[in-house]
Amino acid sequence: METPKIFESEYRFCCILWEREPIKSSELVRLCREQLGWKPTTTYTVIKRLSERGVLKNENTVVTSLVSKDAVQAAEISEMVEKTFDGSLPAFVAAFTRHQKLSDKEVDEIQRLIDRYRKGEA
Amino acid sequence: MTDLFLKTLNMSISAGWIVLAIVALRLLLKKAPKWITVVLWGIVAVRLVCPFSIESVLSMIPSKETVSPTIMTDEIPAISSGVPAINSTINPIIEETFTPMPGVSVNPLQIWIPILAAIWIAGMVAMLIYTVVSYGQVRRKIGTAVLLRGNIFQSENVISPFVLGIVKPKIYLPFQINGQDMSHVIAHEEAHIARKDHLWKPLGFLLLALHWFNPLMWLGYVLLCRDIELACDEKVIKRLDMQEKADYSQALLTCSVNRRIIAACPLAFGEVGVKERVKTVLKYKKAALWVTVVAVVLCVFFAACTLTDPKTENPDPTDPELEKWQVILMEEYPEYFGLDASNGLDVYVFQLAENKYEFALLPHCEASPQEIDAKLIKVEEVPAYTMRSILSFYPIDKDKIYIVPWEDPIVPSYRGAYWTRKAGESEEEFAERQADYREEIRFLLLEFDAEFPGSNYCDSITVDIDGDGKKEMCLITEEGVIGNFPFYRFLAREKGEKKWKYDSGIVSKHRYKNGYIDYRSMIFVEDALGRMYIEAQCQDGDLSETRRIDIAFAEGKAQFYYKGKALLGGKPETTLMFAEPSLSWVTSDVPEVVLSNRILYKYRGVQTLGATLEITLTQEMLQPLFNGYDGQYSELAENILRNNFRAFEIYPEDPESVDLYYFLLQKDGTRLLVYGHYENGEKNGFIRWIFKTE
Repeated sequence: METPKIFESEYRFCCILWEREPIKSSELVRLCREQLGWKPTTTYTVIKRLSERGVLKNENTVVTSLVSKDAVQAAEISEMVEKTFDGSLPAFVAAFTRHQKLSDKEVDEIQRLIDRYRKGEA
Repeated sequence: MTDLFLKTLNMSISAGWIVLAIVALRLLLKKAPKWITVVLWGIVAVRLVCPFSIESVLSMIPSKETVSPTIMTDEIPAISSGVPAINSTINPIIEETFTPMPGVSVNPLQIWIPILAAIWIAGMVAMLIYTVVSYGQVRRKIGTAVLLRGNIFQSENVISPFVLGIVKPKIYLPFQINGQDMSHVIAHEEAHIARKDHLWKPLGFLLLALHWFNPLMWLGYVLLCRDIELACDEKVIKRLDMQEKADYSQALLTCSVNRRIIAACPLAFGEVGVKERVKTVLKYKKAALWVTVVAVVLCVFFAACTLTDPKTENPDPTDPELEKWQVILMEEYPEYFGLDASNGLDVYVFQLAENKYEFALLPHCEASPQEIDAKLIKVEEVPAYTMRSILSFYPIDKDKIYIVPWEDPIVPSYRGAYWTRKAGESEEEFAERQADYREEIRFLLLEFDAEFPGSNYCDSITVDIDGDGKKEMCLITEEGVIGNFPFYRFLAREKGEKKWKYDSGIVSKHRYKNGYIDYRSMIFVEDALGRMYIEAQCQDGDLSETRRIDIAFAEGKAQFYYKGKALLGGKPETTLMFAEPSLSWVTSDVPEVVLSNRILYKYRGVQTLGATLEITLTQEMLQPLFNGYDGQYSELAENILRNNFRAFEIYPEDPESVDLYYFLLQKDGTRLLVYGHYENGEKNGFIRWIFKTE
């Protein structure tokens, strides 16, 4: 069977699981709260999602993994991100910078500016 | 709801002016710290949120209330934007499109404005839904974000780092970000949090939702977002050395261009292009202290100018207490408002013809005639009632209003009696006559309306009318019109007195052929012998002539006379009560009947008017009251019929007479003398007046 794909955040979750399995779901919730900053509902949702995808199984509130750490294909991560993210943030959210359309030429131009500045030619 | 809409509209317009001002001001503040510009936008927000404000002379807002809350029910809808050019462009269009047609009950604005209000609500709701939905979407995506440290999270669903959360703001970063970039990004987001941008931006967006119909608000929000970003950058790089600045720029570039992501979004609004931001960062130089200080002072001054409303010292066109006609007056003759009346006001009087005057107004000054002419040319002459209204705006002492007869600088004037000394008149007499003239004009302008509301001024003259050695100011007024026929009234009072010595009551008619004729105009004239009389124009069917009417006194009372015969008069009653004082009628026709101030009537006198014959009062007899005068007396006629106790018709002794009299006794004891005449020899009489007698 093909190794199921998992997101980076799910990967972090699985790390905890791999470390502590078999583990009671309530205990898992507590650990996720501590280490990942997740709400209990989030943890349960992720458990459900991953069990549907065949990454883990949840029997009688005990969670065990079905996939080993080595087998996970981290390389798939970027692909998934491309597909799911629609790329737009609401206008009223404060951000660092939004993803912008720049031609290679423009990118190089800006890079040059930065490099020249670094060399003290600002 | 429409009320709220109009209020919001007005606030939006006021705020719009500020946005324009800030756009200009930003150019000046290029060298100043960016946070100052953000504060300026805060001022717009305050203006949008606070409905009340203080007044000050500094206010730059053209108008506090451009759209009147009563615009839907106004006879002539108009806006008062505070900018005459805008008003004169828009108001004629509004007037043409939206003034209700007389007879049509609904002002079109009453339909349109509620529709616009509904559209406004719909747009606002749409934007709020967008806000809620997109916020929800973002929240969902970052549900599985993983804690990095403190309040910083990472998620595979984040490409562009951002801050989310109102109460406990959290920073969200992507997973793929190198350590160096990360520290700068975090610094930037923490700066956002420190500056509370995570609050201002959503708040601004909510205000935008409320004012979505105003394009200037969108402009303001876009610029606000830009300025926030730049201010944030500034805050971070203030403490960075050159290398770190270069690193920061690198982070900007890297985060903006993630080549692994194919889908890129165009520059969303409020975004500053990366190139511009990098340039700004690299060019950054801390602003000199004096620049900051000056900018802050400018800000404070700007706040005073924009957060306050224009003072209503000189009448404020947006003052909701003003009536529409007052506002229109202020817009038509702006040169007459806001004048410096501290030394008084000069009212210039131009006499164009025998009885035609026009007026102009200037602050009181001592200047040469040429200088005054130069000023008068710039203002527009107005008729008496307009000048009267204009003067009512100035709360100054009547003594400080000076009447200055003048010759029109452009149009050759009528050189009336004022300008020419009469033959045999001494210097003193001439001066006195001129002073009398000015007093008459003063009376016309300042007192006439209050004393005779609803009447029209016809003419005045100051002369000793009753031969007692003291001059009286005599006045003819037009007392209202029934059908086509005006009613006149003669009054006189001694110079310097307030009380009227003589009052003819209302007069108009004179017997002519088989009926009565009416006068169309009356003015005072002096004959060759210096005696005063009245020149009256009569027009009635085939009759059109000028008549000399004298004022004579019988038993101390003033009376209009024509060719020795007294003119009768009176007004049809709608309430069965004479409201105005009238005089004692002494007519040679009926010497026994004395109709005086409250129509004192002697019962016996009726019989001397003619023979009386008891009749049955029918509707037919009172038909003219039912039909005529647009049916306004039909109720009166009905009441008379219903309350009728006994009715008598009076047959005048003279068989040629066209006088019509009924004498009616009502059930409640009221006695009425109905007076009219027969038209064209017809026995169907025309009822003119009803006197209630006591």
